[in-house]
Amino acid sequence: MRILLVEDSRDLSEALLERFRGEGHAIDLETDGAEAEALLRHASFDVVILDINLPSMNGYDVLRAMRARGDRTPVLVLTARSEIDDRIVGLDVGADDYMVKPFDFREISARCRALVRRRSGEASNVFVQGAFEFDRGARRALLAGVDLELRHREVQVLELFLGQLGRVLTKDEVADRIYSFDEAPSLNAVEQTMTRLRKKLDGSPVAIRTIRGLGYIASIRDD
Amino acid sequence: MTVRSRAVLAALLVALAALTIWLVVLKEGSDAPERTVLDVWSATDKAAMSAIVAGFEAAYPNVSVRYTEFNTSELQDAVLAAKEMPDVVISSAMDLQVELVNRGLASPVSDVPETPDWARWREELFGFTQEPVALVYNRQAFSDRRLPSTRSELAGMIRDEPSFFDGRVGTYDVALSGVGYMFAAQDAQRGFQASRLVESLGRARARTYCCTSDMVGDVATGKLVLAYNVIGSYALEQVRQDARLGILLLSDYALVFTRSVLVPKESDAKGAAGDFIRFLLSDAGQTLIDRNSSLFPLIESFREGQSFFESRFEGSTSLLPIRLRPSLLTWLDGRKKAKFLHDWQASIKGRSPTQ
Amino acid sequence: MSRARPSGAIPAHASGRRPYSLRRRLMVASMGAFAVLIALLSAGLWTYARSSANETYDLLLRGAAIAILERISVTPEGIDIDLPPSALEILALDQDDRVFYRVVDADGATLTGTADLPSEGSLAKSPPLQEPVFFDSQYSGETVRFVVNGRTLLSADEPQWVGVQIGQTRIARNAMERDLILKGLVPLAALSIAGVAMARAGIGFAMRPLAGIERDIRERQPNDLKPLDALPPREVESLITAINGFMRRLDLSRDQAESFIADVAHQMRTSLAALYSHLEAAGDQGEAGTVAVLRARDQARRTVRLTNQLLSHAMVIHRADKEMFETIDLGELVRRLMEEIVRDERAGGIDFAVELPPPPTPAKVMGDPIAIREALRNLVDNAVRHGPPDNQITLHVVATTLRGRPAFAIGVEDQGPGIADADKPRVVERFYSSGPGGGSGVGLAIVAAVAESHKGRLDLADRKPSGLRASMTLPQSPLPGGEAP
Repeated sequence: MRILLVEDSRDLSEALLERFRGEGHAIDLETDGAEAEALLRHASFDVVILDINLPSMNGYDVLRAMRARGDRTPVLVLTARSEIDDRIVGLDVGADDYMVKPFDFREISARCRALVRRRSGEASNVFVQGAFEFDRGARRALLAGVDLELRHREVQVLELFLGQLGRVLTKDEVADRIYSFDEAPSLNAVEQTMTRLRKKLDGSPVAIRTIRGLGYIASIRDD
Repeated sequence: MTVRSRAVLAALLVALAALTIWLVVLKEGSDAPERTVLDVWSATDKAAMSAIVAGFEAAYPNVSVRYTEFNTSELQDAVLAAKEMPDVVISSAMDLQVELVNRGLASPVSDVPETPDWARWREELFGFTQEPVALVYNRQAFSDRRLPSTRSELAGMIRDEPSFFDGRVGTYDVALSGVGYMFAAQDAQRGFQASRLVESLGRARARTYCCTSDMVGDVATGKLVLAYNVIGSYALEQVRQDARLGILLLSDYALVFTRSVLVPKESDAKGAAGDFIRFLLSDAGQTLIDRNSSLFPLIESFREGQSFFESRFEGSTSLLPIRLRPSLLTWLDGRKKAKFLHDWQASIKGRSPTQ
Repeated sequence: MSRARPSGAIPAHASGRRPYSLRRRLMVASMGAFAVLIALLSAGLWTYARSSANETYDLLLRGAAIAILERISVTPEGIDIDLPPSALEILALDQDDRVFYRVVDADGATLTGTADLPSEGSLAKSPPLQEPVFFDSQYSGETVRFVVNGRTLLSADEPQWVGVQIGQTRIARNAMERDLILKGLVPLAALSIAGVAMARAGIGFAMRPLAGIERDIRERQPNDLKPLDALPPREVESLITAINGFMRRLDLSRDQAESFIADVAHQMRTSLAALYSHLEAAGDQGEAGTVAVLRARDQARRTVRLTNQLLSHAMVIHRADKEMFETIDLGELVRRLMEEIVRDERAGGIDFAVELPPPPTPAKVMGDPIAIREALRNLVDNAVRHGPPDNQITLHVVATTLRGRPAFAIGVEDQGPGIADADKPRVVERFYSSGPGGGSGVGLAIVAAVAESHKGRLDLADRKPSGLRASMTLPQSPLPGGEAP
């Protein structure tokens, strides 16, 4: 992965540089917001780890500038706890994920991988995570090379959830997706589809959790 | 040139010309100040006034006085009929003067020196003399007789001694003389002694006169033994020059009248006219009246009071000024006057005028 | 009158509006009242003076008219008029007025006197008048007051009416009128001046307590938050009460801040001291060193959590002061919270459930979304922390009422050990941690603070067979009943 870390705290950035390099990633450091923004105009990265409190130009403005010129590079925002309401703003201006300082290194590494994976999956039409593979074009899912033999509706649901990782989807929202206008939507049928899909995905890194009374959340288990 | 600019130029030329004329006039005016002619119409002897007029002309060299003499009723008629109003009107006929003021013909004069209240009205009419009405007698005729001191005493004496007084008492003919009428009317207004006196005058076949001087002259010659209701100032002048004469103020009262002066509204020399009035009532004017005329000054006599007259007349009396007030108008009422004259003549001549 | 302000003082009108002066307002109001009063009284005085002057002098006019009428008689020769001197004398009593008169017969022909006097129609009346009529008219350049009076004379052949018209210029009347007005106005003006002066003095007197209060506040030390001891006038009592209340709250908040800082310092030092000692032990050889490193990591994690929660607490308190309230969709809030919780909760053994009001009920409250979210997050964290790995955690949003007003109960139910009844009142205190696996002791304090700042309530209840139901009941809109519970 080619990573740009924009962070003005030396202690934190040194630790991050060391750990990411230790894992074999190429990581560059910028400590100034405006300089980072200038760099991002010319160089491309797989993921940007962006602090909010930066000298000369804050993280939001950097992010806004990126999105304004159509740069869709995944961005992970770092925020301090005191900026708690900044999270919402960060996501609103187009951050893909955020982490609150202080954080666990393994966590940030996993999040970065997930972001890169998601973006590459969107680009290639094939979502790969470990032994799991989902081919959008062929509309099939493989686990360790074995076709999971998903039904048409299960494919639709899986595609929906992989596109909305980490987001709560209500039963109604799922139903809207898998039923056409002509069919009478049945929440029971949704539940049955979910149960079957979850069973077929058992053992894969893709987990769809049920939040009773609310809906479902899909997430990817790392490793 | 447009019409408009031509008009502007013309206007400028006219303005320039006007300015030039104005400057020239102003220059000439300041070089030779115009003499103001003050038209004085007066019902007072010119002789009595000449020193005062001269004094005024000396004090105000730019003013020259044109003095015209009238008798009182002529003066009234002349003023009412005048096309060219005089600047100053002087008269001894207080009632007629009040009448002119009451008609609104007079103009107020400011800053006139202080004088007694009765002798000025509305700041338009100003009395400037103070003249008692007196009794003149023939000293010889009364050499062995007591002089009357009151009106009732006089009436009593006439009644008691008809032979002595018969045809030898004189008084004004109230139909001929304005002042005479005023004195008689004022007497009548004072009470019943007056009518008694008039009655006894009639019984003594009193002679009636137009003027004070004629009356006093007849007293001097002994034609009359006394003259009742003569103008004290004029009489005093004659008495001082004639040892045969005595002059007396009756003690019950002595009428006092004032010569008054006003400025008509239509006067075209109000400034000079005001100066004239202020001069008349100034110390200088009053001193002139005292010393250089037969008249009695208002302010001097007013200041010295009773003693002023006591030093000049015999007897002592209470002075009864006739007030310069609209009540005098009562006696100018046509019916009132006709009735009064009728009654008076009936009493004094023993016959009514219609007879 | 501009008084120099002490430099550095913040002007009272920092907001840009000009301050108004109570004293000036009162003065303007009282002077205005006096002006209106004087205007009314003057108008009344003027009317009174005019009618009074007219009455007085009309009596003279009428007297003169009667005096003349009495002297008119019928004789064989015709009407005899003997004008009495007294008639005009009465009118001449006063200095400067001109007088006019005439006597007319029933046909309006002038028998004697000035023929051209204006009659204003008074002579044309039918039947001919017997009572005096007064009127003003212009004559010979002046306004003249006239009376017309008449009388029917009895004679041998037939009764004959004669009229008298007498006029007098208005000089004396106007002088009397002016005199009356002046005599009335002078005391009135004096009264007004005295009134305004007294009003001014009274206002100054009334304002004095305010100046005293101002001095008290100005001369205080910054840390002196004792209540004002001035005995305030009733009109500003509530202001003083409010100021005192404000100072009390300020005092309380200062005390709280002080104790918070003290608590935080203690907790942080303790936590960091533990971390430090673990790290020192980490240098040891062998297994002891490895254990110490693991302990140090745990301690560091606890310290981080403690720090986060302290800051969260401080933030909640801070936001409560600012009352950053808006309308919150609780369903949306819960949904976003769940996403965050699921993402952060790695083990995945916990069964989460959400209980929302059935669809037609809009689950909305006026509140601070950040604070409510933080409170809920802490409740969930507590449930996760204290419960078993397969805990069942339910977030609930239930429509209810609070003190008779619509409200929502928002909270978390778990199957953990619960809280002993004896501990329940104390767990909401800062740094009180119950049970062996106790956390920082800040979480429930945050929840309690949020409930309080929303004028709501925190309930802790046991569940059967085990577990805790922690629920904040928040009014739908806390703003109207502004008083503290």
